[in-house]
Amino acid sequence: MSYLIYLKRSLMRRPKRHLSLFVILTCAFILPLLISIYRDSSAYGTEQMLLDWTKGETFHILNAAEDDVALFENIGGLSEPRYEDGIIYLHILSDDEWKNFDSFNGYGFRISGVIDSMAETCLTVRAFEYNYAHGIPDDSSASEQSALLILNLFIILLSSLVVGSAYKSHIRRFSSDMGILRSLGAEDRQIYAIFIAEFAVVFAMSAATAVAISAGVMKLLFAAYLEVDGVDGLAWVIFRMNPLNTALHIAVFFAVLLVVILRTLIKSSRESAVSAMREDIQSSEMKNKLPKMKFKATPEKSLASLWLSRTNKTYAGCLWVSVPIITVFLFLFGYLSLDADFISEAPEYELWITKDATFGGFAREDIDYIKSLPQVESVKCLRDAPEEIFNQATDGLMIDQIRIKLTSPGLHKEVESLLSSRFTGMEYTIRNFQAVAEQGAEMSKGIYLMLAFIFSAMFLFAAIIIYMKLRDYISDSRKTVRTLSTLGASDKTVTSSYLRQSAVSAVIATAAPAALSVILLILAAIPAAVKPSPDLRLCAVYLAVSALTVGAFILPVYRSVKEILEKRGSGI
Amino acid sequence: MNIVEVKNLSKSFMQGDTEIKAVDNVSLEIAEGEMLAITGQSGSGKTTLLNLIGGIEEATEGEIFIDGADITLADKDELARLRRQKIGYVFQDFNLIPILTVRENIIMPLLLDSKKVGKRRFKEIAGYLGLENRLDHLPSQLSGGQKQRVAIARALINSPSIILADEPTGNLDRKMADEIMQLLIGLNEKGITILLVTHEERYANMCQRKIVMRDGKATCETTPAVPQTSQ
Repeated sequence: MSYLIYLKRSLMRRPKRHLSLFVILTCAFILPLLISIYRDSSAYGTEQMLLDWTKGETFHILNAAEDDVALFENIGGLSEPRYEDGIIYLHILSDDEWKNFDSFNGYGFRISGVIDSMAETCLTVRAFEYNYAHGIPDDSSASEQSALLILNLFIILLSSLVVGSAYKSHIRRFSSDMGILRSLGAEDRQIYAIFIAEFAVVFAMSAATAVAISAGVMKLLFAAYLEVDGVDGLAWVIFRMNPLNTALHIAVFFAVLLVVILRTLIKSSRESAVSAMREDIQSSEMKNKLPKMKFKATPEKSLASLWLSRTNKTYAGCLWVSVPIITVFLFLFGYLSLDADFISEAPEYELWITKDATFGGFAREDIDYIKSLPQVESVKCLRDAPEEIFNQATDGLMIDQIRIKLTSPGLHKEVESLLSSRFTGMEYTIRNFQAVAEQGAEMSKGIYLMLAFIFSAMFLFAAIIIYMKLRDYISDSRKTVRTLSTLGASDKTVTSSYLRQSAVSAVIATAAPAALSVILLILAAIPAAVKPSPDLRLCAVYLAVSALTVGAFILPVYRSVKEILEKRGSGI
Repeated sequence: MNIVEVKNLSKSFMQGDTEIKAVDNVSLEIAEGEMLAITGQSGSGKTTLLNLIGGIEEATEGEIFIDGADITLADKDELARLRRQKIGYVFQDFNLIPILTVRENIIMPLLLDSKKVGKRRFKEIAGYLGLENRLDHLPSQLSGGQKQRVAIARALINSPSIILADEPTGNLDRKMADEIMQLLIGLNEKGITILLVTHEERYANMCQRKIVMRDGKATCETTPAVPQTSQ
C-alpha cells in the first residue's frame, strides 16, 4: 500500500519529469515499431504477390483456348484442369510429390509431352515450386526479414542505452528521495521496487501510445502513398501489423530496459544516504587533476573555457545521443532519396510493346501504325537481343520489341489504350513504364513523409534527452551562476559563457553527422553502383536539421540561465 | 565621509494578494572605515536591506548612494560593475564555486573584471587568512571555517570600498565563528568598511554601531558599550 502511495505522490509531484520520460520512451519505440510494421507489410505483400502470381497452382498453360482443357484431363497425380482467361491451371495433388524435385520435374515433362504431341500449337507451360505457390518467398526475402529483425534488435539495444542515460538524469532528481528512504531504513530492494513500478507504469503508457501512433501514421501513409499491389517491377507492400511481432518487440524492449534501469538503480544505491541527499553533484564528478584556469581576452571567454575544461561531461553525453541519431537520419534521407529518385525516374521510352518470337515478330505495317500516331514522337525497334538496336525497322528482320517515346509523357494512358485495342492477341505484351514511374513518384512522396515522421520521432527523442540533460546541468550550476552574479558578473557575461560552452557541442553535433552520413552514403551506394552527388534537397534538409540541432543545444541553456538570473533576488 | 547613504528605503513583496514590506522606510549612513552591524530576528528584513545595498535586489522606493552615486538609478550592468569593483560579499553559505579551487575562487572577481592577478596582493591576502596550504583544494575538501576564510579572501581581492557580510558566522561553530569575527574586526582596523548582518547580539556588540530591525523597520540605533577587540 505504501508503495502505491509513494508511486502516486511521485507521479503527481514531478509530473514534468515523468512526462519527459514518457515522451522519450514513446519516441524510442517509434523507429523499431515502424521497421516492424514495414517488415510485416513486406512479408505479407510478398506472400500476396506470390499467391496472385501462381494462383496456388503448379502449372499454368498459357495461350490456351477452352477446347484445349480436354487434353489435360485425367493426368494421374494432377488436379482436374481449370480454365480462366486463356490459361489452364493444374496442380500436383500430393504435397510431398510437389516438394520433391524429381517428381515435380516428372510432372513438368508429362505436361510438356502433351503440348509437344500437338501439331502447330502456341501453348507454353510455366511451372511453380511448392513454396512459391503457397506464398512462401525465396531465401533473399527471408534474409531481408532476418536482416530487418537484427537491425531492429540493434536499434532497441542502442535506444535502451540512450534511454538508460536519460533515466540516469531522471533518477538523479529523485536521489534525495532515495537517500531519505534509505535513512528511514528502507532496504535497497524496496527502493528498486518503487522505482521499477513507476517505470513500468510509464513504460506501459508509452508502449500503448507508440503502437497507436505508429500504426495510425503507417496505415495512413500506406493507404495514401506506399501500398503497392499489382504493379510489375515493384515489390508488393501491403499494410500489415502482426500483433505477435509487435508484442515481441515490446517485450524485448522492456527486458533490455529493465536491465539498464536496474543497473542505474544499483549504481545510485551504492552512494551513501548522506551523499544521495547532497545537492552538490558537480564537484563530486570533478577529476582529481584539474586543468589550469586560463585568463582569456574577455571574462565570457575565460569562463567558457573553464566550463569546457571542467564541466563538459553532460555535453559529451548529449553528443553521444544526438550524433548517432542525426547521422542515421541524414543517411536514411540520402539513401532513400536515391531510392525514390530511382523508382520515380522518368523512362526514356514510356511504352514498350513486345511480341512473342514464336509468332514471327512485328510486321512493317505494325511499326508504321505506331509511328503514325500523333502522340508518338519516335520509336526504337529491337530484336530479341536487347543490345542489337536498330533505329529503323528493315524488311526481313524479325522485330520483337518496339519502344515508344511520346510527345508528352502525360499521354501514356491514351496511347496504351490505342495499342491494346490494335494488338489484342495473347502474343502481345504492352508495358507502361510511365505508369510505373508515376506510381514511383507517388510512392516517393510517401517515402519523404515517412522520413519526416521518423525524423520527428527521432529528433524529439534526442531533443528531449538533450533538453533534460542540459536543464539539469544548468540547474546543478545554479549556485555557480548566482555566485558569479553576486561577484559582479553581468547577466550577459554569465549567459554568454554558458552559451559559448554549448555552442562548441552544437557545432560538433551538426558537423559530425554530416560528415559521417556522407561517408555512410558513399559506402552504401558502392554495391548499388550509384554515385551520390551533392543535391539541393539534401543540403536544405541538412541546414534545417542543423538549425534544429543548434536550437536543441542552445535554447535549454539560454532559458535555464535566464530563469536562474531572474530569480536571483529571491535568495542566493 | 559616508561610503553608504540609504534614504527612505522600502522593499515590498506580494504574497498572494497581501503586500509584505520586507524593508520599510529605512534610512542610514555608513562612514568610511566604520563597522556597522544590522541585527534583528529572522524575517526582520536585515538580509533584504543588505541585498538592496549590494544591488542584488531592486528597491521599491528610496535611494541608496554608494560613494556618492545613486545605485537605484543604475541599470543591471552598472550594478554588476559596482559589485565587481566596490563591494565585497561574504555569505552565511559561503557561496564558493564548487568546481573551482580555493585559488581560483579567490581570483574570480579579478577574472570577471579582466584584471591581472597581483601576486603580492594575493599572497598577502592568502597569508593573512591562513590559506597558503589550501590553495589547490576544492571547497568540498575544506571545513566551514576555511570556506568562510576563502569567501573573505575573495571579497578582499578587488580592494572593495565596503564588505557586506550576511551572517558570516551563521553556519560555523562558536570557535570558528569567533575566529571569523576577529578576522573581520582585524580588516576593519586596517580601514575597510564593513556592514555586518547578524542575529547574534554578541557579534553585533563587537561593532562600532548597531541597528536593530523589526518588521522591516530600523527600530533603534545604538553604540555598543562593549568595545570591539581584535587578537
